[in-house]
Amino acid sequence: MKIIEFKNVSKQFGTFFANQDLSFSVESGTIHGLIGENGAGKSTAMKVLFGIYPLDGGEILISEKPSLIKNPIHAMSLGIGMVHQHFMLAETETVLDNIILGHEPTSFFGIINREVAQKELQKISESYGLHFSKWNEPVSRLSVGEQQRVEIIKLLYQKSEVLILDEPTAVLIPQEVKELFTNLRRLKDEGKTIILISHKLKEVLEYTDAVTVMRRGKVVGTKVTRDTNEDELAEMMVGRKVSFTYQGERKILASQVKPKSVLQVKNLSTVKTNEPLKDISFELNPGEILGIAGVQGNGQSELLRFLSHPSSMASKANGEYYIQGRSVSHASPLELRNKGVGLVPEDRISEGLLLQQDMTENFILGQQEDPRYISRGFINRKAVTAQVQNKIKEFDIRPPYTTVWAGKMSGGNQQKLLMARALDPDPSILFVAHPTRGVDVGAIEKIHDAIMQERNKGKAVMLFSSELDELMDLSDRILVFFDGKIQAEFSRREFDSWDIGRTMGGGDKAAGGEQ
Amino acid sequence: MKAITMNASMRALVKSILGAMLGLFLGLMICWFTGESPIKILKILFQSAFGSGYDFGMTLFYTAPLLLTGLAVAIPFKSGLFNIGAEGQLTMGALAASAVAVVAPNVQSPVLAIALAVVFAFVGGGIWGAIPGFLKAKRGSHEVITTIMLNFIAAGVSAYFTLYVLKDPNSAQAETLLLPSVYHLKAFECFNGAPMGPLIFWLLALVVFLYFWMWHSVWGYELKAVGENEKAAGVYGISKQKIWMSSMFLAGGVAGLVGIIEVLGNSHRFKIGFSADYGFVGIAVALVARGNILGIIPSALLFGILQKGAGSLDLETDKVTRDLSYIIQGLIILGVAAEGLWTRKRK
Amino acid sequence: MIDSFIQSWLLPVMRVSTPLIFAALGGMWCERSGVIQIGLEGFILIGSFFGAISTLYFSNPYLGFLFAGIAGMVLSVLYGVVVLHYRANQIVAGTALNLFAMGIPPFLSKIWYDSTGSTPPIPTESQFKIAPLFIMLMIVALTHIVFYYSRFGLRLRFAGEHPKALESAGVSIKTKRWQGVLMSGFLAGLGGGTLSIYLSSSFIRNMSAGRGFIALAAVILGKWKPIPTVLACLLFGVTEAIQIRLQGVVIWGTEPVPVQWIQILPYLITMIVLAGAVGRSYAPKSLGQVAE
Repeated sequence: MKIIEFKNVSKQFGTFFANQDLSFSVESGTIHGLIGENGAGKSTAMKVLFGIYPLDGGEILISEKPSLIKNPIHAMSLGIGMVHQHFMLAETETVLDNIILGHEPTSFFGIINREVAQKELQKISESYGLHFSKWNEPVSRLSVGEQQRVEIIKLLYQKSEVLILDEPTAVLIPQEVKELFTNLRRLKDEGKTIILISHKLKEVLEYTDAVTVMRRGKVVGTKVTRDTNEDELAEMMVGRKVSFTYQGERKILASQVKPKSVLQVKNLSTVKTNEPLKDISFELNPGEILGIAGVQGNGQSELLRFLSHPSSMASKANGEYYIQGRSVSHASPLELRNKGVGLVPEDRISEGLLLQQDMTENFILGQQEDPRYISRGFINRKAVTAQVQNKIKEFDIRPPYTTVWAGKMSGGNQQKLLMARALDPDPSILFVAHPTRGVDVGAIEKIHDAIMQERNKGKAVMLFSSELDELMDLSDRILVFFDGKIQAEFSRREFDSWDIGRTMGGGDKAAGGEQ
Repeated sequence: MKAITMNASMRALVKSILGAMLGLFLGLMICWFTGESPIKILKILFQSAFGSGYDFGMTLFYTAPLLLTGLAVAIPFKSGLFNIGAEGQLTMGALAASAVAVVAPNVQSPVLAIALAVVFAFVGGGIWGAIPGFLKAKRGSHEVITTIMLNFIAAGVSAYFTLYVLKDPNSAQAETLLLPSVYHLKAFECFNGAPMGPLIFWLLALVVFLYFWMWHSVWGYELKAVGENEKAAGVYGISKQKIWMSSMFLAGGVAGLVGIIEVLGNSHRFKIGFSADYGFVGIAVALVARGNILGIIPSALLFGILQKGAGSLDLETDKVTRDLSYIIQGLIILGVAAEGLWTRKRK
Repeated sequence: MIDSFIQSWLLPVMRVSTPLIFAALGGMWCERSGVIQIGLEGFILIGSFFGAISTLYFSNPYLGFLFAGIAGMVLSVLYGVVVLHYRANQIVAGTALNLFAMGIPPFLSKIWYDSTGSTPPIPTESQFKIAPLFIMLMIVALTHIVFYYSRFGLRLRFAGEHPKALESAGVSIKTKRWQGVLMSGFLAGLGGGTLSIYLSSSFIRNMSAGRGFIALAAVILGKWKPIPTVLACLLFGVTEAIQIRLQGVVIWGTEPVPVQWIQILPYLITMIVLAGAVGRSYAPKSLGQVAE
């Protein structure tokens, strides 16, 4: 039976079609993948289904009956539940209270009967084999994987038949991913339907029964998972034959033959932090791109924070950090900048931009004391604006006006602005983090080109990314982080996604690069 | 249909004016309730504010502190801090200014005397402002709560000093020693005794200077960056701690200069409770100016007129008292603050 | 011995703490629903004014007390409209509310009694003896139970802690926040009522005298929890009782102890506790954030 069916569903924001004529259906009792690049419209489609957005055209059938879903509450009453990317759990409250919220069993005068609730939850947990019993602990004491399980139990408690999971594995470590899918399969066996939003081809191929691919707000097609493969899905997602190798020029530089490092880190450890580093040592050479790989939360962010702002970690970090042979273990960002370090931070919105300021003001950030932009002790905005105009041309930033607020630019253009700003003082060392996260395909190529150009000019680049393909495309060398340590190092000729992936999960590097 | 496009600052201006007018209108409508005609009240307000040289002088006397407290709220606001403590800061500034009578009673040069008093007032208020700035920067204590607490502490401390340390033995009032005449500021003749002189031009110059400073200096940029996105500012090496402490010191110092207007210009001593809630009205001034430093000038004048004008309500009407000004001030703030009145909800 | 302790300390402390406890519990409900409440001072003032005049009018302190709460609640409607409906900044609106409330009693007393800001005394026969104390104890118990054990309390807490979770569970955030705001107006209004018809026998100008802010401080010291908040109020009550006791008392030298130092104690304690970094991690997560 088709439990969900989209018929020509459209959703518009202004003149922009986030969803256009979507038609596909989900069979009851299956795990159905919904894949596509960032911005392809997957989440929008599910938000329409969940009643968060009203639809602008077409209709949705639930259990083969046309249904006009008014709001999330209505959707829930129709048996549709959603686990959002950011969990809907209050950390200070207990698991039990978080789950029963809105559906509390009460005895008299609205007094909650928590015993009845706990019994019911225990029953749910047992009947679906979820092995959970920490009902009276505050959510803050649970691991991310457990919190996700609480979200799923919440949906089961609300008697959802269709469970939508939005990028559920983005926050999980590999073991938890496995556990999640074991649980999801059990739910499927009990007759539940699961819709899995993802952009990771591998997990979709491994765990789903059918998969719908979206691109630019449209459905490209729906496939039975066992009849398709990675190449086909990738091509459907991106819309052209994907080549997994970077097309631009990769020069062979003299410095690589006889490397002389420009940056050294020796025995770096951190304490009292979220993802402590354990005895990290490495060197960075001119003319190379050093990729930093790892599942989120294994120390990469911490390393970047230390490298770009050692003074902020003074009380937490131990170890040595040299640039051009000089110790910078306690340097400030401005001092590093003067030593030729450029930075594209991890999260462009929260760490890179002033959203309610124009391009000129954003371009000043971090450069406010640059002599080129100071005259008579004051910031010379004319000089800055002139430079921004040059950069707009050079990086093809759109819209091409210096007075545009950063918050009104697309992700790709924001990222180009950050690249332009980082490269403005012509640094000899460049830290780039997640340069293409949530960026459209066209901009990705521009950004990759810019990074490669710096390398080819003999600059030293460190690339932090969660996209293994991106790292393998660009890097000359990759360091894999796991649990705060360097788990493995791969030189370019050793690159193998399976092998690197295994070390990201804590496994050892295969000897000699063979299986 | 083509929407009328305005830039952000124009829109802010229009919203401010609309909000202030709505608040004023509602306040006057309340008068109807008493049987007094709102038009008459409005007339009294304006006549009282501009009717004579003396009246205008008094209006400026009420406006001047609001220029300063408006700045004291607006400057930290740009760095993301809410300074509810201008009242305490101006109290400590005025107390410090009055202390010159004890510390340096024998200064001969008026210029030196006044410079000394200005430094005292600025530093006195500045320190009181720097405390919440420091606590916010170092301990993460919420500045709204700490500044509120410091307002009360300032009231207690200043009362103690007035009654026990700087007390004028010849006065039955709660007031400090009279300042030597070298400290007294001149008032304009044409104001017929209203205590306001060339000082008003200095204060206007201060506003213009700070406007320039905030926009063109590196410090002003860093302040804005911290206020806009403190995390990003930190990533690029701007210390929010430094910015918060310095902006609160500056704000407190500027508020402390109210002491110059009152102590040097008017009563020549510190009197308990001299402030007509200038610190709180300063929030309204900054709000109506919408963060625009130059906008503080007309905004302060508006509230100055209200303050002066309301004083005549007791005499000129049977039922309406000067306390109407509190009601109108409150309503103006609410009218301007209620964003949703003038903008449709964004989806 | 015990009798005299009760007579000279326990009762006075309880008495002076009563307005604080009412207001602080109101403030706690409001802030736990996610709305900053610095307008308690205004509610107290309005409550004490209307409490006094309605006691005079009805010659009945219970009715007067009720109207004190209602008056506070009416003022909180204004706050709710501006803040929840028109999305005004809550700190700004709270400050405006306090200014507004300062103007109301003198404005009305001029019209009704031709005095600027005080009301005629309440005759002895329509004064409270001790009832507000018992009502206060009842409210404390009720608050504790409702806050932790009822559906209402759970949902209101989520409105401040994780409003999106509440919304996705099918409960309106706005409704919960409205309830929090109205409760703060009503309870702080009752607190004002105790000031004018229990602790004294008329309304006088600016009678609240900063109690709204002390109540707010108590909420913070009490980490936004009912019983600790009440304890903080009692602590502040102790300092007030000491201050009354020490008025004019000579401890050393020839001068009486300056009351100013004791007056600022509650504020100083709050500052010190805040400086100890207590308070920030306990505040409701979404305090002051506008619901979409």
